[in-house]
Amino acid sequence: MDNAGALAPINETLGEYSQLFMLLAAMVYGVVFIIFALDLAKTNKSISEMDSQALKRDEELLVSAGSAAVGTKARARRGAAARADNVGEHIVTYKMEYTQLSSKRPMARIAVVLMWLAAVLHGGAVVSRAMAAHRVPWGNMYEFLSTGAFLVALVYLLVLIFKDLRFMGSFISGLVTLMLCGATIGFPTPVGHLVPALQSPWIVIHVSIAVLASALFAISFAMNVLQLIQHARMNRLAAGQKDKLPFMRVVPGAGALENFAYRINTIAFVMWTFTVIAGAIWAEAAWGRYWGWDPKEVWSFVIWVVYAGYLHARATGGWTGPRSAWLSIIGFLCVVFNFTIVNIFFDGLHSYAGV
Amino acid sequence: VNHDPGKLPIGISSALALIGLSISLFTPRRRVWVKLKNEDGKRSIEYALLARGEDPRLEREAAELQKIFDKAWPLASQEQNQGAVNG
Repeated sequence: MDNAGALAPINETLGEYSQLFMLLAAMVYGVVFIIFALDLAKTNKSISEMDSQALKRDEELLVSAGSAAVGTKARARRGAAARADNVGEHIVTYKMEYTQLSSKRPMARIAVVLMWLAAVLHGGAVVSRAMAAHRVPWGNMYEFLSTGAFLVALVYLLVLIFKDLRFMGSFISGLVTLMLCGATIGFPTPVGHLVPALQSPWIVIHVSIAVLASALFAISFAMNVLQLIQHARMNRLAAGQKDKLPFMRVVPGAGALENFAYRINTIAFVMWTFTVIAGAIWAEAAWGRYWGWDPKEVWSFVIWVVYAGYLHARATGGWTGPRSAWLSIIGFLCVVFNFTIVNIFFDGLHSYAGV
Repeated sequence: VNHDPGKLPIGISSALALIGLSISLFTPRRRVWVKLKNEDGKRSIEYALLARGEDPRLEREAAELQKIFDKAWPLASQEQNQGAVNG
């Protein structure tokens, strides 16, 4: 099979530029991660300042009322307690729209602007790599990771236009940085042609949708983790215990997170279904059978079943709250397992990936 | 290499499966009750909406219904009573 001879030559200079841009993007993402973390810490501080000011006002009220009557004093104290309850309220509405305090976050604004810059660098790197190799930029582990990371960042930034998801900023930028580092350190691959098994138009459809679905699963995974933390925190507050994680007030309530994660998961699930079907059709064209219980096929099916279970549990079984969050988290862990362990260690027909 | 007559049915059925899945996941399920009463020449319309699960667009749907009712039965004096339930 002398296909490679017919392929256009690799543009290696452009490939090196692509790697340079990838590194630059990773660095900017790293900075974005730090700024988002600082924003959370600062929000944490300004929230506790607001709280202590509110408490002080109540104290003053208490002192001025103190001379009047004992009964008033008790009432004022109750007022202070009620105010302390309000402290547990969220700064983001359940529709995740910007509220007054949440828009006064200069650090977060800087982080978003920088993240757009990083995404532009990143997009340039991905596109120039594709141009250097004259093919789609998803043919090996390095490219799955770098293109997948780009999609995670891009989807996040696009949703950010409509919804205030800045509370997820440090998670997303951290994840993207990690993926880029993993690509560069774990699977350094110079620009090259596709292995013959992947030289098919199906790679454009099957893999692109698979990567996009995985990016969406990653975002809903982040929301479900936050949902669990928020749920535990709300329970603690309801039990009258101290708020250990005041910065979680920037994060919407557990119910809002759950619903948003569900909506993303439904979209990603349809995409994953398409991925499996397209994969089977490609397998038929390439290997003469739709389904052969190859490890990759098995695990793609496992992922499909877990997310199908998640959707069913929510729709018909009434499994909401932490239980549905756990199902979605297990689903994402399967996605990660399928991508890393199955690709690297399992012998199968999907052992391409330049490993 | 060989002829496989199953290809077309497989293509059609998998496309249908995907379409069906999308419809079942992305169509909001809403129910509406409308009650018309005619008592001593006084006519009243009551209606209620119920969504399955959370549905942030239910209120807009209610406003649309209100418009339709207003067009169908223009009232001299309106006493509005509407409710939208997310459940």
